[in-house]
Amino acid sequence: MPDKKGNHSEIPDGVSRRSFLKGMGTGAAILPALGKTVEAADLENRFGPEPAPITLTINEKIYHLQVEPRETLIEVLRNRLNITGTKVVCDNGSCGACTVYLDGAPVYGCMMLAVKAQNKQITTIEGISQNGKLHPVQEAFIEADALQCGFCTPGFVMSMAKVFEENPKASLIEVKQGLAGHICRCGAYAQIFKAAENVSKRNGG
Amino acid sequence: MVKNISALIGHDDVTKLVQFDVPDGEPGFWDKQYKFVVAGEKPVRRLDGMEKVTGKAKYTYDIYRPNQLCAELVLCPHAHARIVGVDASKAEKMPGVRGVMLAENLDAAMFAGWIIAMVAADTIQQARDAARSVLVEYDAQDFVVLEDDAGKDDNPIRKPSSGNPSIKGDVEKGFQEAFAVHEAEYVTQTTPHNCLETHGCVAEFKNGELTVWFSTQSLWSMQQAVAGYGGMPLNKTRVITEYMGGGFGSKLFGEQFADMCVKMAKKIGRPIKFMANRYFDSVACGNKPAAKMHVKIGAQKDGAFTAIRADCLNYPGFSGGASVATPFRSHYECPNIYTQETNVYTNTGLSRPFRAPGRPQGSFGLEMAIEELCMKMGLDPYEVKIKNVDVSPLDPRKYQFEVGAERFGWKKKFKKHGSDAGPVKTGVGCAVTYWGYSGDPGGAVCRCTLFMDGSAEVAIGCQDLGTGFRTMAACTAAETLGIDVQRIQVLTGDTDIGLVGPLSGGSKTTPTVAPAIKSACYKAQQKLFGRIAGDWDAKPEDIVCRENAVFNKENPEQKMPWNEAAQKVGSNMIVALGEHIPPPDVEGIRIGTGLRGAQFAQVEVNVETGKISCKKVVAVQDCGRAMAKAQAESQICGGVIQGVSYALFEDRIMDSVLGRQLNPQMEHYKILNAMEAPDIEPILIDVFDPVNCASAKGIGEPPHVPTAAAVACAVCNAIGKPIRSLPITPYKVLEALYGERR
Repeated sequence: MPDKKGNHSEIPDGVSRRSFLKGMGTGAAILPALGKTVEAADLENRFGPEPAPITLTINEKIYHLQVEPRETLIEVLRNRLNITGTKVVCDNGSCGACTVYLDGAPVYGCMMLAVKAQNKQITTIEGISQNGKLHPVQEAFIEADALQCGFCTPGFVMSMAKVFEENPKASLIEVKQGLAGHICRCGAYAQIFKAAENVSKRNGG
Repeated sequence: MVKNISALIGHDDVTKLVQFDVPDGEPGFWDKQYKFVVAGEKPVRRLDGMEKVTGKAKYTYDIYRPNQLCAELVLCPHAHARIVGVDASKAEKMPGVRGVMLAENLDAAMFAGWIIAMVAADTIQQARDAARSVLVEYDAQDFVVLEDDAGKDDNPIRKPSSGNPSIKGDVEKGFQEAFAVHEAEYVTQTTPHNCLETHGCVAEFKNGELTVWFSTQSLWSMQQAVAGYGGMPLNKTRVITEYMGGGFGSKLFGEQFADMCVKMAKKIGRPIKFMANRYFDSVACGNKPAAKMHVKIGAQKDGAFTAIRADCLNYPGFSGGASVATPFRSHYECPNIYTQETNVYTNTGLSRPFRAPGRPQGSFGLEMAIEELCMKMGLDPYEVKIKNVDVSPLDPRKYQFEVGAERFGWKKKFKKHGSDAGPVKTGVGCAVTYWGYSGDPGGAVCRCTLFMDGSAEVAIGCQDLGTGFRTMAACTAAETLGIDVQRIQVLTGDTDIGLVGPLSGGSKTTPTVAPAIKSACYKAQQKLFGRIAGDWDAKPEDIVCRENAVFNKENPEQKMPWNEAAQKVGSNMIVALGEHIPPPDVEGIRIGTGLRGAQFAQVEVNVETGKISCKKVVAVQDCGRAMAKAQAESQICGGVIQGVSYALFEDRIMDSVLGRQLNPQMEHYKILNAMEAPDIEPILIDVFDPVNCASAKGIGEPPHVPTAAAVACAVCNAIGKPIRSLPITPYKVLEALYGERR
């Protein structure tokens, strides 16, 4: 039964999709040994497989919606909320295209279940420009022609913005390290580095 | 009916004055004396940059129609199997499932990834669940997936098909005349395109019309394809490709999944979206095919080539053909050339064009053979290569080579093969590129609309793959009209625009569209100037607009700002159509053929670990005149990056026991990333060639041709040993240096 109260504290913190699924498998295996009481309690608090109500805070807006527990954060953003700026490319946590912030920290949205993103501030590419003004990194991308097809761009922008938030005068090598988890298939790296240089220079770096 | 114009043609270094006829009413030619104000001068901001950096750009992948269903495919897991039966009854009853459709061609599956069925459901999760529940009974057959196992004579799938050899001169005589001869086999790998937006479409029937949002490089041929799938008249079929996440040649054709999507959307009566997952995209949506090239090359004592022979095996997948021999015939001058190609088949997905199809493979075989020949003869490969491109002064090849070598510092950097001290050895390599295609006359119709507020719109039914097509179009229009690029609006990516444009293949988009835009804008503006000419007692063709100022060429005192002139447009607007008309057919006015370029690469190879890093690439390229310089440079850099990635990392690995690709997912398929990107210096050489009125040529493919070859030559130069197969991995470096049992 889905938990109508939206109480899901029993899902431990720091679970990736893989370890979560693995955990499910192990749980099923040891369930009979633990006895009936645990089983009953588990059923009561269990999520899914039917859609369950969750609440997400995305770009400072609150959304109440029904999702299947297996849906990733990015699937929910895109398929349920039509927030499509963030892309899925590899769907396996290896290309960085789906990068969003969770409480300000960059995460791969394809590697996180939506239910895990509750009670956190989710920021997507749509949320990093403020009051209709582009983020300096977005501005620098356009200026340096640091994009071609643009499919990887939201992810690159999110990670580079984070690099400069942590160190406004970040060096090129720091930027490269910050972007190492991203793939640009069109090969705009030279221009992406140029954009980073421009941001760093403007910050006095 | 015609006007005779004189034009200064040639390139940055050498020019020639020629005369030719231009039809009345058509614009003249942007020759060397015509200085660009907008196009190709200061960098112009990419027109769709804002939409892309903010995430507002809607790709096919981002289309969500009301009531839309999600589709997933059932794929054959066997490399070769007879399909005995399919039972979808369980899948059809699963939650959310609205339909299951079996594929046509269900006799036999020819590779792992063959489409068996499509399932449509309310959510993608439900569609995936149901796809997994379709029961298929297979009768597995013998298969071959490795190139080495696909014997040339005893292939189990299909007899290899050999093409006729292409013969120039007499190679045997050429080899006899040679001072030195080198002969070896060069091997390249298979690499899937891995466009970040996978293949996919959304099909919708509404009010008796079919609309398909399609991630495609070919709007118009896709309109014909989907109209066929849906049994719809063409005038009620619309294809939209507003934004596209890369294609590189893999999205030129009709697709089986699109056929099924359209048919199911029609049957169920709801829009259906299918976006390939990474697995399907990698195994079934195209690749740059592997090749084995047996190359023999001979040269005189001074390095002049006497004969080139290449016997090539191509591996296009389970069917079709591929070709890698073009570079052997077209990159260098040589009196005696023989090439022959044979297609050999494996139970793998079909190859598709991938950014200059066949050229990077052939370039690798050719340039490495030259490199080894030079190593044997103790010659500097740069000196040998430039000697063999020295044809006529108007041909830009020699000049490009010199400019690149100068900027790269070749003379200072080149050391004898393997002579760097190490353990991290530096090496340099160079290679040339050639691209023979230009635009298709009649392949594009463009519309220019002038408005009374001084703004303008250009419309053309084409698609922007990410190349910067929109920006190129706006720059060409702004240059023709003599106004700021910010005043230009570009409409594209939709068949409802009703103006045909080319498919984006063969680097033909810009050379087909730019002259059509120039023609349309010129004609529209001439209509306007006709309304001013009376007041000035001038001829319309003598009135021009430069930098937002309209003036009479014959009497520069007569002038007015563009905004004032544009008021005479009136509320009815001025509209004109333009086409790419055939180029003047006059002997001696063309600059060689095609596009040329040269690249120089510098690598570091650690001879203890085998690690290779590409440090720098200088890429000299012509594209006629660049219409949008920043975006043209981005294209060069992109071609180079993909070339380095191809040279050092990418490799599709097939499992000979299971018959499947072992690395279809991106976490197992290495693509160059930010840490491995070399420093790139793109150098555009202007070539003034009346191939069309804009002197525009396409730049998407040519810069990708020579990069892998230049990197491979640089590695050879660094370690003094050739590595004759791509990708060049640390393992191969150590093997080359210390033998297999190091």
